[in-house]
Amino acid sequence: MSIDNESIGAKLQAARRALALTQTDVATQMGMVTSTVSAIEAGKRAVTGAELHTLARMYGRPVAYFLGDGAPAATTGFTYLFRAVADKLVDRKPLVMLEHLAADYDLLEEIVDTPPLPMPVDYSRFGFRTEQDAETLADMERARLGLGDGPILDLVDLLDGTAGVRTFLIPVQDQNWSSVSVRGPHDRPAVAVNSKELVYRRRFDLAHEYGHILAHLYRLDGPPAHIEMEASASRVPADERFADAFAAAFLMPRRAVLGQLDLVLRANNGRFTDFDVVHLAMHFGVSGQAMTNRLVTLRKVSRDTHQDYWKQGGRKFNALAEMLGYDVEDPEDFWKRPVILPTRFRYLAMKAFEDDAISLAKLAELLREDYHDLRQRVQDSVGVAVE
Amino acid sequence: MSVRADRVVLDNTFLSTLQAAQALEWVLGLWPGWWIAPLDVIDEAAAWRSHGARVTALLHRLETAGTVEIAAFDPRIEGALFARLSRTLGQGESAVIAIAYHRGTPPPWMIGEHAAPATT
Repeated sequence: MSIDNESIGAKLQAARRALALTQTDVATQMGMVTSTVSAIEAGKRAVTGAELHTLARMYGRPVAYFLGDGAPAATTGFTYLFRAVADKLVDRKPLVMLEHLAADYDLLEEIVDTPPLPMPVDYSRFGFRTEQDAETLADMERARLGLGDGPILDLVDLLDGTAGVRTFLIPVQDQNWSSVSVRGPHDRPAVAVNSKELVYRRRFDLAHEYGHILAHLYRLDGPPAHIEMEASASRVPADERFADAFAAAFLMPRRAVLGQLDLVLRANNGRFTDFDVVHLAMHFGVSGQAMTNRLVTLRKVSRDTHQDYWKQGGRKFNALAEMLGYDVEDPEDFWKRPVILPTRFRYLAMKAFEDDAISLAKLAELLREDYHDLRQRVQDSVGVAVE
Repeated sequence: MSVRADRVVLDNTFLSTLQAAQALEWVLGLWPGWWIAPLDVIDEAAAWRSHGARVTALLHRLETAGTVEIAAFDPRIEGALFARLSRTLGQGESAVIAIAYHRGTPPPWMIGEHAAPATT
C-alpha cells in the first residue's frame, strides 16, 4: 500500500492551520517559495521524507500523523477549537499536544484491550443556568462519584480515572490561556490545564472545565470546545459564572465548609484569623481567594471584607501556609516537564509495555520521556538489560 | 565477527549501547559507507540528555566524511509501513524497519544466529 500526495497534503494543511501559520510563514522557515508549500498541500508535488520530517517538527506532530489513511483525523471539537483561536494570540502548541495525548489515550485503551471508562453524565438538557443550579449540579456529581463532603485529594485522577475525562497538565509558554475542555476522539471529553499556574489555581480551573463539560460541552446549540483565556475586565458570560460557581461548590461543598467553619470558630472563641483562612483553604485544596469567595457566597463573610482582606493582607497567604506545614509550591522544575500525565494513562502505557504490546521506545514516546533515561530506569527496576 | 552487508540501518539501541561503551566512533569507522542513520533515530538520540549532543555531532561529522548516510524514509513508499509500525514501536524503530524493509534484501545472517547487532 502506498500513501498518496493528496492525503499527506491535506494533513499538512490542517496541521499548519491549527497553528495559524500561513503558507508564507512555512515557506520562509523551510527555505522554499510559497507556491511549493501550496503545491505540497494540494497534493500536486510530493513531499520528500526530509521535508516531511522538518514540517512535522515545525507543527509539533509525529510524522505518523501525516501518513494515516484518508482525511485529517481531527475531531469536531479540536477543529472548532483551532478555528476559535485562529485570530487570537494564543500558544497553540499545547492544544496540538492535547489532541495527540487524547489520540494516544485511545490507542492505549485499544492496545491494552481495556474497556473505556463510562462517559461523564450529560446534563446539558437539564437546563442548568443559574449559580444555584451550579450548586445543585455539584452536589449531584459529588453524590454520583461517591465523594461525600470530604475534600478532593487528587482532582486530576478523579476526573481522569473515575469521571472519564482525559485530563492533562501542559505548560503554556505565554500563559495566555489557563485551561481548555474539548470533545476529543469518540466524543470523549479532554481537558488540559496550564501546568505553570499555581497548584490551587489549577485545581479550580480543572473543576471549572468539568462544570463546562457536564453542563455545556454536549449542548446541541453549544460549541464543542471551551478555552479559558486570560481574565478580561469585561462582563463575565453566564456560562462562565456557572462554571465558576460549579467549581467552588464542587471543591468546597456547602455543608463541609459550614462544618469546618463551625469547628474553627468554636476553637477560637468565635474569632476568625488569617491562619483560619489558610487552614480552611488548604483543607479544601483551594486558593485563599477562592476560599473567602466561597464564604461570601455562603453569606459568612461580606464581599467588602473579602475585598479588603485581599487588598491588605492577602500576600501573607503563602507564608502562613508554609508555616502551617502546607506545600504551596510545586516541586522544582514541575512546569518544565512537557506534560503531567494522569496515573491511568501511565498505568495503561506501562501495562502495554509489560505485555510486550509496545516497545520501550514507544513507551518513552507515550510518556513523553527521554528514551535513554527510561531505559536505564527500567533496567534498574527490573534488573535485566532491555533490548 | 564475520559480517557481510551492503548497508546497515542504525537504531538507538545500537547507538546508545556503543556510545555508553565509548566505542561508537570506532565501530562505525570500521565499515565506512555501510551505515544509514534515519532522521527519526537522530531526533531520539538528540533528546538523550547525557550524550545526545555528542552522538548527533558525531553522526553529522561522519556523514560529512562519507561514513554514515543520514536519511529520511520515503513517505509514499515507506510511509505506510512506518505508520503501521509506529502504533506500537518508537518513531526511530519504525523508520529503521521501514527503510531496511524497502531498501534492502535481508541477507540470511540478519535472521540467523550470527546476526549483526544493529541490523533490522
